[in-house]
Amino acid sequence: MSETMISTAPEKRAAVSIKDLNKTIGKRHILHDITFDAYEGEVFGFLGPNGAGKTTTIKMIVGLLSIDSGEVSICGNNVVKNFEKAMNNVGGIVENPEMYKNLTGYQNLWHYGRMRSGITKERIDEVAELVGLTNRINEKISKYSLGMRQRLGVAQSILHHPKVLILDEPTNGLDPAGIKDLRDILKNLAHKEGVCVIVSSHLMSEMELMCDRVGVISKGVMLGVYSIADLLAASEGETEDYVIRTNDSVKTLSLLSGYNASCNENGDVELILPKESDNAGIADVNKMLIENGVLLYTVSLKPKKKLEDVFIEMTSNEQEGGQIV
Amino acid sequence: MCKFRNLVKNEYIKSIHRASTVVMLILVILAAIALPSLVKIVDYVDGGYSGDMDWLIDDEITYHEGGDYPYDKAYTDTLELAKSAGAESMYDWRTVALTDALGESWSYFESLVSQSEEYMKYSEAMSEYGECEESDKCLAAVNKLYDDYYSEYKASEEFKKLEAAVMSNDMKAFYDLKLEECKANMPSDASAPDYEYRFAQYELDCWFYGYLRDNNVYYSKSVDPWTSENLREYFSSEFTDLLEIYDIKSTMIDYEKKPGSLISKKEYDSAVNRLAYFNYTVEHGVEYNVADGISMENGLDFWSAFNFSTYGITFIGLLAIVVASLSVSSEFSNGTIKFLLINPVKRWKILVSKYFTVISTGYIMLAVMFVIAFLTSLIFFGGSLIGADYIKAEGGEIFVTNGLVYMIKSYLLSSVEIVVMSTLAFAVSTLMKSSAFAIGISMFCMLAGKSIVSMLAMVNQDWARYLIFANLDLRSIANGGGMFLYQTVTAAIGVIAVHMVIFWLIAWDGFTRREI
Repeated sequence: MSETMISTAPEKRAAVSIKDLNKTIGKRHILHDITFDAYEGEVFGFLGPNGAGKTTTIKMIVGLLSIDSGEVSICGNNVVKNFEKAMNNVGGIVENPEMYKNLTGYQNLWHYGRMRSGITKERIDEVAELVGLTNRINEKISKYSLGMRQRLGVAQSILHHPKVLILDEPTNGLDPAGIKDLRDILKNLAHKEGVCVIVSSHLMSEMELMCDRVGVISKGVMLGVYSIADLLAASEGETEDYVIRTNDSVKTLSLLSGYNASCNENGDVELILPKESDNAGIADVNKMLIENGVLLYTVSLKPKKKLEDVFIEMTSNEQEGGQIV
Repeated sequence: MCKFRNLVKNEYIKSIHRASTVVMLILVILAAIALPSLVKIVDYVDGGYSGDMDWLIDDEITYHEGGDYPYDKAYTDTLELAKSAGAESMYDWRTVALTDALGESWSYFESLVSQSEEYMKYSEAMSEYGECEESDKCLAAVNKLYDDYYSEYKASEEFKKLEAAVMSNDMKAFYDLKLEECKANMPSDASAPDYEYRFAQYELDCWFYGYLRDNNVYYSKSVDPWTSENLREYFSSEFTDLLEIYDIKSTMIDYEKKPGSLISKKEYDSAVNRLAYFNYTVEHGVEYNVADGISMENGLDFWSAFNFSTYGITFIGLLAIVVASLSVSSEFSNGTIKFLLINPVKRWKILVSKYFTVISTGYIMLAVMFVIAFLTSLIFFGGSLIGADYIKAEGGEIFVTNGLVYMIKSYLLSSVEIVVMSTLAFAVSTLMKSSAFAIGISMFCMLAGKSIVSMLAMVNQDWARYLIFANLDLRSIANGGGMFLYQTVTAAIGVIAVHMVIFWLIAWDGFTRREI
């Protein structure tokens, strides 16, 4: 994957801009020169395996961790120098949605509402409705499930119409319907209201459905930022792989000596052909095999690589033996 | 500003919804009710006890009858005489006059015979508890000596006159006798080194008895504060006052004029203050001083109960520590700190709002305790003394404060400890992730700090005076009751200020720079 795949739409304005971010905790250098921009009106996925540095980066964006070197600005405001202005535009959930257990959902929302300006009762009812908690909003958080707390966390984060919404693994604990609801809410916020939504996850499948672009991080290094469309194209490739099952693999292989063919572990022949629109190549092979007296049982397309595999491939190069660094 | 109010409101809501806060609040209210009630209970129990305790001559005679000691026989003899004069109580002036005279004569006898061989053997035997085999013999010898002396004393002119005055129940004649006795003691040798002192003392004595005689004051011992109503006929507050004046002036004369006086400067200063106070009470017709109620020496009343509630301020200290510790550390231990700090509010503002909440909670608790203790005391003791003043003499000057104002000042002085402890707890909790640990450390400091410092004081570790725990009890230090010598309020405030600044810096640094 090369530079050419980094999709940048020139008309979009960067809502979050991160430059050469470094962090060392104790003796461990956790982040190495993290650099990326997230734009208004997009859902930006922040993707990486466990321990890659996603949460650390997010904490640095919202000022929970100090910045060793580098710069974070939100809507043009430096997070360190202009904390309050920067944070005025941010809503978010960092790690788990921890709320005040002795307070009700409603009291919790008010708690955060009081720290912002211009939050009305109507707005609080509105966000409660949006995340589907209207019926349970007056219950204490200690009675909430993880999914309900996650929903309340989202409600809290969008309370003040932030321009940047940062959600750290927001689908944790949500049921499939909840995940779909959340996806719709986030897409709606980004595409209709022009919010910059940053979502972190370690699941490519989730990102695929939710995000416009993903930034992939592994071992504290930013591997690149890709649009989902480009990633999908990349996983498609420029060839088609066929699996051919016959009564005589050896004969088949010799017949296909002019092609890129090999024998796989099942004793079947694998044939790689350039991609073509009319399938003429495979028809020719078919015909040639039958004419030469080979009994052809099946010819099938080998399943494509998934985005998940692309992601694992990308990050496993960096992580030796799957050990968390 | 509006934002700050919102932050504080948030902190209050969080604090009031914690079970620990509610429990501590209930404890504070209970303490505010229980402490004045305790005073009422003590008052009830003790009041019942001293109800009709007359000290009867008959009881005293039964107690001393058949005693071995020289004095016993003369004493019962004297009591019989008082009885025959018509006295029934030991508090009757006739009994007092006779026993006083006997006491004086016994002292005189002792000084007379103290050099004699028998008496020395006797006192040796007495001091060694019968190790001397001859103790019975010695005792008999002294008894013999005293018998002789006593017959002589009873035959004397003075005793006859005293007896006549007592028998005819003529107090004036008795005072005349005393006055005469005084005048006979007028120092004559003007060249003696202690002449000035003796002359002043002589003048004082004559004035005392002259005043008693001229104003026909009932002669008695000083009034026991617990004396019940039905014994009051034997006591006059006028006599008590005079005795007080006599005592004060005698002390002052001793200090000012006696060569080699044993009265210390402190005792002298106290006498000066007592005199100033006495003069003030007479001049302004003061009948009651809140200080008396607070000291609980003259019986229990509204102010004793109200002031006793200040012991409950410790509970508020504990509450403040819990509130302060949980205020910060519970945000960390519950993980809510992340949600709190991603809001557009600088960390120091959140810290200040938390600190403000903690401190104001302490003061609200103080106010609650003040009001509840006031009402409880009012219910139990009635409100007749509410308007009274707190009067105190210091350096010969009189300071008058309204009783309620004095109590408010007391509460505020005690609040210093609360503020310091909650600030300490606050600083500790910014450094800890665990609430339990933060509370534990601060509680330990509050409870153990003082004992550790007083232990250090006991083993003469003078540097410990610079520790915060030696300086927290401003009320005691102001009254000269600090743990170390020469502690002053100014120095204590200095030590407290330095510690507070350190605590603030720790809290500030710990909170604003913490990695979350």
